[in-house]
Amino acid sequence: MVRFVEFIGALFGKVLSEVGAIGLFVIKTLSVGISTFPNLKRFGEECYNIGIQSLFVVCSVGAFIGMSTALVGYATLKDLGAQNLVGIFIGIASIRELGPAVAAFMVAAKAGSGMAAHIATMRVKEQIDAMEVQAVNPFWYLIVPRFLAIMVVLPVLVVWNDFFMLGTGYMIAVFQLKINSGAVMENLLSTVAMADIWKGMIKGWVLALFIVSICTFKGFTCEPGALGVGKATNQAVVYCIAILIIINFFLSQWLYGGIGLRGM
Amino acid sequence: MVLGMIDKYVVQPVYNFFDEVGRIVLFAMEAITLLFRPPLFWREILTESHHVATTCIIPVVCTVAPIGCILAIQALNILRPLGVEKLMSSMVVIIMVRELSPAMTSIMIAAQAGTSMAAELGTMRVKEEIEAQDVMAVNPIQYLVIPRFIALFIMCPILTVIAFFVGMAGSYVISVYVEGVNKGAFLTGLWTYLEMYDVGGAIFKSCVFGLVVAVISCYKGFYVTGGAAGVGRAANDAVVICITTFLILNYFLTSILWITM
Repeated sequence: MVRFVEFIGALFGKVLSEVGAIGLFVIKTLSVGISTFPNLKRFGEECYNIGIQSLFVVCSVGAFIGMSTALVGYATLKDLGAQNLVGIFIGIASIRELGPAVAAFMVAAKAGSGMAAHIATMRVKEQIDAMEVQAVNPFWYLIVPRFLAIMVVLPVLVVWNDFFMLGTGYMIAVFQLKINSGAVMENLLSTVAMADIWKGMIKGWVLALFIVSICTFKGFTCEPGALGVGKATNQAVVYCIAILIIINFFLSQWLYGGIGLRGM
Repeated sequence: MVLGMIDKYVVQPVYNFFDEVGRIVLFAMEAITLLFRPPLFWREILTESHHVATTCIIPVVCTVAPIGCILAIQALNILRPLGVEKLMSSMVVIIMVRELSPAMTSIMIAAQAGTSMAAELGTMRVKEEIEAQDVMAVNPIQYLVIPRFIALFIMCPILTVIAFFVGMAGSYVISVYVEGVNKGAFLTGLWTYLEMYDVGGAIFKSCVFGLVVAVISCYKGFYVTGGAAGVGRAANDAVVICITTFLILNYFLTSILWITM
């Protein structure tokens, strides 16, 4: 029993110290970001890296998830005899939940783990130390441009993803499942409001902050050697995806949920 | 000039893509032929299965439970205005069993076990441990790759079944205690449209996804080049290719299992 309590205590201590370390890291980044003028050239490069690298993956995954959504909605609603409502299902599922979530996952998996691997490699090869010796602040050169870039890029990718999911969902509903195209379109347009798209972008923006702080932190505090780089990449992806889903729940509860905030 | 551009941006990427796919398939076929040839390192299989299960269970639970909660909230959003709140749980259970728990479980397995396999094998390749095994007449595919294949093939369905329960528990908690749905309506609704075929189909899906994760991440880790940077790149590539591949496969599997059949 004592050993169990000890174990739980050690686990909590470890988790809390990790969270605290990430918090300090973010505060340091914020202070550097506010006190210096951002490096615009690096910001442009990072926008290109994150956006263009992830664009293909986000769009292809989004397209196929849109297809699956249409199939599942059809299979569920067919039992109720309400196939025509599949438009509502596609609209709500894609724009409110899956659009932001899938875009954030794929950015975390592609750009986020790439970031962690890149920064960890620089740490292992002592390039970050070399940077400090040459009086270039590594936060200014490596971390702040990534923070700014991902906050700009991820909401845009969310909109792209929404577009692809709705498009493929519509095509599957009309051409594979043979539902009346007017009914699908009508239901889709009557449920989806402009506010939903804005809320999706807000979600993407918040999730972006979590992705970039975890991934850059994991890369920046990497252990030595090839093993350390692998471990940093692995942990960055796992923590990101787990935390994204938990945060996504709270965001949904805040933006669409019932507790005292209905009608927001 | 134009021909050069076409060659660089169209022909080369397409060529590289098919080259990579061919290599992955050859690697998988080599592993599968070696599977039926002794020796079988069963102790390694047990260690790997234990490793996969213990490292993946917490991420899987942490992702699937909130997914269940979100599903409950959004399903109520759709169904409450139509006045059919009691159908909420039948909708949630079908979406959970058919789609989300196989997909989310395999995403987390790819993120946790897949990247760690790629990183582990990559580190061994960089440190020339794999060459050393070859020299000592231990076939590295039999010793390192096949146990990982079998471990993922067995553990992926088991974790998926755990994910069903966790996800439904999450949506039960939210809908009954937070949103105030009737308990009895929720529990009876679970069995209205769900059939054993759905559960079997989900388990089949997750077996396929487990194999995809195993093949891609072992391939990426096994053929790492270029030191520490190469290991990081392999882990990154492994997770991206795994997730993309099985979300694409997911569409075709759903289409075959539940629409055409």
